[in-house]
Amino acid sequence: MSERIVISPTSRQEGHAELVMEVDDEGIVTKGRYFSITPVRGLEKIVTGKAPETAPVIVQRICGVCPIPHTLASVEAIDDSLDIEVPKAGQQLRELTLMAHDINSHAIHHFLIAADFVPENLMAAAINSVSEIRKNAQYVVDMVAGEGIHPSDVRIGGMADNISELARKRLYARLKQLKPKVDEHVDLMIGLIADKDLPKGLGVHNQPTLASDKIYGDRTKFDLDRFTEIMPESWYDDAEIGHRACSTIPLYDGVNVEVGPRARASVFGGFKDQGVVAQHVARAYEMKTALSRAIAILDDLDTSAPAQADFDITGTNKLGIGAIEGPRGLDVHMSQIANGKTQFYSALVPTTWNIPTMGPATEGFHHEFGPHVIRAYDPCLSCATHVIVVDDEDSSVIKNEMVRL
Amino acid sequence: MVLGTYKEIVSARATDKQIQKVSQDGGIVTGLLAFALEEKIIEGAVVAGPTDEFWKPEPMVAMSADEIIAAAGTKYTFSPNVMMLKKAVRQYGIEKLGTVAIPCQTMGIRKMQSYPFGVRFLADKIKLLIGIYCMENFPYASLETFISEKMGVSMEMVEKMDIGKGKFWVYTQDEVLSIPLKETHGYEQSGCNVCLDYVAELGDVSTGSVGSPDGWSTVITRTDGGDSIFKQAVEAGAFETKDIANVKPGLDLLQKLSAQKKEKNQKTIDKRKEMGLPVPF
Amino acid sequence: MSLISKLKGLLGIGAKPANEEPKPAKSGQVGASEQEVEKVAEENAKPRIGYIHLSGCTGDIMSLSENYDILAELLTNMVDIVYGQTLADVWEMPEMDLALVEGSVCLQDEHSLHELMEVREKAAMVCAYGSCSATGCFTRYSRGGQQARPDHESFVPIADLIKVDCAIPGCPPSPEIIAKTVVALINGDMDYLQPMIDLAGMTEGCGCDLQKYVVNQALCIGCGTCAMACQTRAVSMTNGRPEVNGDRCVKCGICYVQCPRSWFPEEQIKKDLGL
Ligand SMILES: Cc1cc2nc3c(=O)[nH]c(=O)nc-3n(C[C@H](O)[C@H](O)[C@H](O)COP(=O)(O)OP(=O)(O)OC[C@H]3O[C@@H](n4cnc5c(N)ncnc54)[C@H](O)[C@@H]3O)c2cc1C
Ligand code: SF4
Ligand code: SF4
Ligand code: SF4
Repeated sequence: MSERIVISPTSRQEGHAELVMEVDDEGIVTKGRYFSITPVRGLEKIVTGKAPETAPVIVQRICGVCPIPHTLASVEAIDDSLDIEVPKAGQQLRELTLMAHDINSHAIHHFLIAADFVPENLMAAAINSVSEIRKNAQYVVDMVAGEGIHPSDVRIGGMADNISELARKRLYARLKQLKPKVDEHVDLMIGLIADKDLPKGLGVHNQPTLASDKIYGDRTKFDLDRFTEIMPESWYDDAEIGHRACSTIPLYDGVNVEVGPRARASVFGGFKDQGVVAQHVARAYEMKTALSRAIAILDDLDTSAPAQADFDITGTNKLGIGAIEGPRGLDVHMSQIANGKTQFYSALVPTTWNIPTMGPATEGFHHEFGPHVIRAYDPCLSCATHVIVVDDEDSSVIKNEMVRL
Repeated sequence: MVLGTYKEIVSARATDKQIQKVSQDGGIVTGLLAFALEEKIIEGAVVAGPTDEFWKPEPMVAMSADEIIAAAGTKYTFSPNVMMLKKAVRQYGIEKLGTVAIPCQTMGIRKMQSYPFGVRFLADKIKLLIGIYCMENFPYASLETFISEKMGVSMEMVEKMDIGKGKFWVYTQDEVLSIPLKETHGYEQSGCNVCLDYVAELGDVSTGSVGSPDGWSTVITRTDGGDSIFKQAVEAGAFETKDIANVKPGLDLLQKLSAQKKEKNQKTIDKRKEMGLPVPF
Repeated sequence: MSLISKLKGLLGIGAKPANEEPKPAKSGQVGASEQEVEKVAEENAKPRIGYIHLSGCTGDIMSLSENYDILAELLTNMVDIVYGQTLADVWEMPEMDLALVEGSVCLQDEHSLHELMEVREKAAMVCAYGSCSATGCFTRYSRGGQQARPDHESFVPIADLIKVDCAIPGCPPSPEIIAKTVVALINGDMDYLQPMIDLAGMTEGCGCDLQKYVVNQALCIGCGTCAMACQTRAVSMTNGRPEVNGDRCVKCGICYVQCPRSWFPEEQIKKDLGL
């Protein structure tokens, strides 16, 4: 006899989603479906027809948890469409912004999963540790990108301004000081996650991983030819879910994938582990990588160099791609600019990649572990609704259409 | 109270000869910002810096005494200093910020500090707000009218502008020209006509020429922070002071002008209300 | 005013209950009753706050969490977060003293409409939290047509549908304003909260407000506060007057909210400065 368990909305993550699990007599999940029910604000359609400058401002409001990758992917896509060469300092400042954001975002995730892993007596200490790290990371974003949450100064062609020498030295010193704190925090979190004794194999699935770069993102490693997208109606074998689902299903090589810290570690770092614990571990370690990279950039940055290129906004309707490795995984934005206006815009955001993989990843274990599996992906569903617009059946048509648009 | 809440009022001037030379009055603004910078009370200041156009200022983040000095002197037109405060604490990396503001600008800053709805991590970084007295401010085109049209001098010849003793003054290399203030009436921006603050009642320290002799300024200390910074500066010898009771024209004039501004502009406010126009105060 | 007194009562801040009493503990008197007093005081003083996420980006609650130095204290001792899918595992919406509603509401989404109505029923005080909720913000530009729900087209500020008691605009609101608001709530400082109550009526925002309601009204003094405040840097200054770049404006309303010529809290400022 099979039973249906619905968790809606799934808690302690961003946005609205439902996790529907079919379970057997023992409560073991035999079929998991996870889908977003967040209303679609239609940001891609908002920015179409408007000035290119509008796109990064609007799409960063896809999500207040991961606004930085969206902003960066947006300007990178526009740079690509307009064939802009971003000056070195501008590129460094963009990367610095992302590194600081990664640290912040992973720390937030630790705050959100604290209730799962942190014992009562360590709770205040854990929250303070998260706050201390975030405070320093966000200090970087504020100074470099103008505003800590929705960054105002990441611009087409680079950054609105370089930072002053005072700011560079200050940030360098701050981040150096932060290093022991981050190391300690990462050890604490990895220890607590291990202590939890989650069932072995929880969250392991058979799907491949997808990542474009170890750190920043690389548009040349995202092959549009291998990407397709289908509508939820044809993905979920349950008609009602298919209709209610608010995000489309992206596939790479025809299958659903996992993106995010573990995906990056497996593609670029030879990391073999899988499942919930592996995802948490990979995420925690990325805080260290990001911090080292940020310090290296600050060491090298020439604060007197220009941070923004001159450019002509007219455009040739070239399909520009921006690929950024956000905290939650690969974030791809596409933009076509002609006549000084955005003609086509599309955002393929991290959580959307993971959505079709998350549900099945709950299968084979007791349904009580379902939310654990979902949270290991750090899903962010404000994002997950802003997805590419395509035809639902034939995947080759999708792409051609997109290019022709 | 017609001069706002304050701790102390003195007549003062900067002791530094270079500051005396370039400043409008007693060099209080330049002297105090430079002192605060030197003492690391602030790490930089937003001031009304020069631009390519003569007498048309632009807000600027000064991070050295030289830059602060380069911005000395009154420009009788808009310098939206408040605008630069955020960039000063962001890309410029300043954690302790000073600034100079005319009364209406202090209102924008103070309102932001009390109600920082959309302004993050700036309010507590403003460590020194020097308010300067102000009767009114002029659009740049009005200055051109006074100087080019009425006085027949081109803007680039002007070395200094000043308002005092009932006149608008212009100093060139070899001339001192003036027109009576009644000829400037109607050329001020109309937003000034509902302003009830003459002596920057919300500054940490406020200063202006009125009340003190030429080359000196009347300094009002208001907040604890402002009072202590000014006292430190006096103690360190950055300023010499005189009892305001012993100088001419003295506090009476300052009180009179402040009261006049309040009275006249309250009438405008009342009239606007009668007409159903909005008034923020 | 009945709302305010009701609210004060609900939050236990009107009569300043037992926690205002000097505690007998130090004189070494009592055991059990002292604990009881403290318990009652705590229960009364800690507002029960819920967080409801409609069509917002979660940036507002992220901003709240940037009160780094007081966050642990805030969450553990100052308020009870009784509902909020980002913060707590609670499925049923409970009764709340204050509901912070983030995001505008999608008229095509039954789930959102239902949730909003429920909030109004369950919360003593509803706060439009962040500009999407207060003014509609950039969702004012929404026009549907996007997969997978091309029907989701119309997003409006929550006050279009329910009575809203106060608003904290901002895209997002700063961490400080949120902390100040919570502290004022706990202290029953209604003077501080008055602007938030007034702003509940401001359900539209745009850079053009500066032109319409300040410059056109002969009120602008060229201070540059609007340009400083704008969170997207849509405002610059031309000849001492605000210049709004419509391509960057998200209609959050902050420029006008921060302008010293829109409203001016003189008493509060003097109090804050000790003047
Ligand atoms: C529009 C205007 C009207 C004034 N009206 C009066 C008056 O009626 N009575 C009176 O006693 N004093 C008035 N003052 C103030 C006076 O002119 C001097 O600025 C003041 O006394 C400071 O002199 P100081 O020697 O201490 O400053 P200085 O050392 O010369 O430094 C002056 C500082 O003011 C800044 N500044 C210059 N112009 C502006 C501007 N337009 N906006 C903002 N900051 C600026 C400069 O950057 C500089 O930092 C007015 C000033 C202005 C700008
Ligand atoms: S107001 Fe801004 S921060 Fe808040 S939900 Fe809307 S876009 Fe996000
Ligand atoms: S101009 Fe800026 S502050 Fe004003 S409404 Fe537009 S985005 Fe908001
Ligand atoms: S903030 Fe200042 S410059 Fe901007 S509209 Fe208001 S008065 Fe004018």
